[in-house]
Amino acid sequence: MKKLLLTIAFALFCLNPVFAQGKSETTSGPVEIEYFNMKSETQDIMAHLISAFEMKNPDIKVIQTNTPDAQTVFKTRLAAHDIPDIVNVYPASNMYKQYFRDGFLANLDGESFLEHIPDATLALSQDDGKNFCLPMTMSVYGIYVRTDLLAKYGLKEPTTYPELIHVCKVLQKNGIIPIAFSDKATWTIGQILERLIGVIDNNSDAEFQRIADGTLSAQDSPILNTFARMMIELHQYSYPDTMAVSYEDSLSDVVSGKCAMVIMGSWALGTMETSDPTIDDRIELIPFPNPTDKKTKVPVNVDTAFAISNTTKHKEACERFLSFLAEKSQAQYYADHEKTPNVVKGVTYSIEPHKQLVEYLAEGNIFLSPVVIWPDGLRDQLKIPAQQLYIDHNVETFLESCGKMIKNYYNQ
Amino acid sequence: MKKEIYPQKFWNKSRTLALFIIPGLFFYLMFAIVPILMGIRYSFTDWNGFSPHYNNVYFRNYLRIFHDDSFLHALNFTFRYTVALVCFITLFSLLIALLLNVKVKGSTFFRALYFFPAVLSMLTLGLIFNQIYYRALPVLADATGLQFLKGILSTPQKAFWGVLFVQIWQGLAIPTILFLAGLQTIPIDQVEAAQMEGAGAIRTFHSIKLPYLYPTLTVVLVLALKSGILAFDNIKAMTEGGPAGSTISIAFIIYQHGFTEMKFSYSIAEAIFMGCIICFISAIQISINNKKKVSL
Repeated sequence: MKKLLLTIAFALFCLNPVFAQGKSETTSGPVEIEYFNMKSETQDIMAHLISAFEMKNPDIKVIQTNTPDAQTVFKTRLAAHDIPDIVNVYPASNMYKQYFRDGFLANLDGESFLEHIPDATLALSQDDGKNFCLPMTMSVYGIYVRTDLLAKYGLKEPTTYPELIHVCKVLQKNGIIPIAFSDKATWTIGQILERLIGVIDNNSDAEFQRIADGTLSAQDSPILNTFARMMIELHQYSYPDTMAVSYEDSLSDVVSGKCAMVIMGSWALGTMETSDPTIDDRIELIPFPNPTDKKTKVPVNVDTAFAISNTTKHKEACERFLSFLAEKSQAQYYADHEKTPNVVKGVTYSIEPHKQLVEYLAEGNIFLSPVVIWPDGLRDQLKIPAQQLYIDHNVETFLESCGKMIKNYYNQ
Repeated sequence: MKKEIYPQKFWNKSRTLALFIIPGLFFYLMFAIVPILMGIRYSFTDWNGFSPHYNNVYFRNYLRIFHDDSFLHALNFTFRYTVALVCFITLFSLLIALLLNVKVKGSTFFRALYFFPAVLSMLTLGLIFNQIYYRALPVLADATGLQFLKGILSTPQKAFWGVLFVQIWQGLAIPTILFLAGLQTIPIDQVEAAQMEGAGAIRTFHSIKLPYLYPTLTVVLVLALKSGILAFDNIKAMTEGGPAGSTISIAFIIYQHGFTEMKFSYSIAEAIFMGCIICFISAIQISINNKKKVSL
């Protein structure tokens, strides 16, 4: 009997973790809310803002969560119904709109902090006219150019595609690698493909729909043909083996002066400044010139936005935090340190390297990045034929593969 | 009077054993069997991995597998990769074990040295070899004139071998130890008798040692097969499935479909399909090896 009781006690001891509570709930003290950060590069900036918020609001404590592969972790937490109180989202993406439609994110219509954001930007962050996040920054995409290297060889910043090729030729003749393509990083391949296809034709979705329904073959697609030939030409002005170059190496080579240009988004400046804080004086982000005769416009995307969980127990505390972030002084701090163009009204954007593209943003010479309109996963798949194109320069194979993928993804 | 089939002592002992097994069995059911059954259920739906709503699609996900070019391409790669991995790991680990079994000075040190790769994670090794392939090997290539060492991960043909080499290097450790342990169980008198009869090293190995090693060989083959079919970490760290999709494995594409493209139920169907293939191959393999092992 004694043996039996000991055995049962041991069995219950082993089962204890199954029934133990994961979180202890405090009944007194400040309200705790969790901020789930998807952008690890903003960790320190958010820590500073959180600290300032807590000083002003001692009854609220904000716990910042940073984790590798944050988007995957967030999905698993959604599936487990363990949704963080506040999360930063990419509202133009179908995936985050789906989170809102499924009831994971709160409807923020009527919230006072949204008045700090221009209506045009709010419109890019809505789902079917409903607000579900507070947008903070917009990313812009173009070419980072080492202005000092261009000046050294008597070159001006290219404003047209022929001028870009001329600049590449002169730089190459003088021993500088003109463009740093990091084809080893498959995500940069996919992103460059998607953004530059958008530059070629701002309404690429319409042409892809025609390919998908068979009224246009990929082989006859003006967009795909222009892109393929343009990229083959530009790759002549890059490393001998672009497949071996990683994203970090490409940025490092631009900072060191080994390369003069890199096609990238506004988020790259922070990484380059980590290598050389003085790089701002010698670099500028310019629009990628349209290789066709159409007007050059700049691809943009909502880069930082904050959403509130629909199941949070502390909605008022979350709203106070978002109100704080939307204040001009906080947004100014964010803009000065994160470097991406800020959309909050009244913020003075003083990041010199991005001034030109911010003017395009202000003038409305922009278009929403195609990735938010294309079917989910298409960009990730198109990088495969793109990478093959850069290896073997076989345009026919590239067009055929793209055609199959477009049909597959649009017809799912 | 009823005849007692089992004595009371048997029931007492069984009850105690059952109570000790129950916690472990509970955890195994909760964390292995139940998720598999839930996965099978979701594979018949169009669930995207997080939505509270989904529809039944019955066998559509399974039928789609046979028309999915990307999955079939990944299956082709995984098949070739696994065959190569199993052959190289089995052969080299056996050779190394035979060498380590020789009693020489420093054999303990060498045994520890050959086990070292097992303590490193595949992801860590992938990141290390990334830098070796990108920075060190081109310098070595220029110094030695062996130009094939350049661009290992940047050409589709070489990337296959570049990724495979890392997994072989890491995967040799445990099979080597298993074979070494297996070699210790071979009766020395049989080996000596064979040698006295005039059998050479190869004949002795083939006729005496190998039959005793069949159980170990079964384990090594199953482990190597599993690690080949589930290859993911080193691919993710080194090539992300490139260049040009030439190193996309089944595990990689399952991850991509599930976590990048929101096709969670489809990725579960792919995983279950692969699970069935692994079970089938393992059953054949175990059956063949069991027929050949030495009966003691």
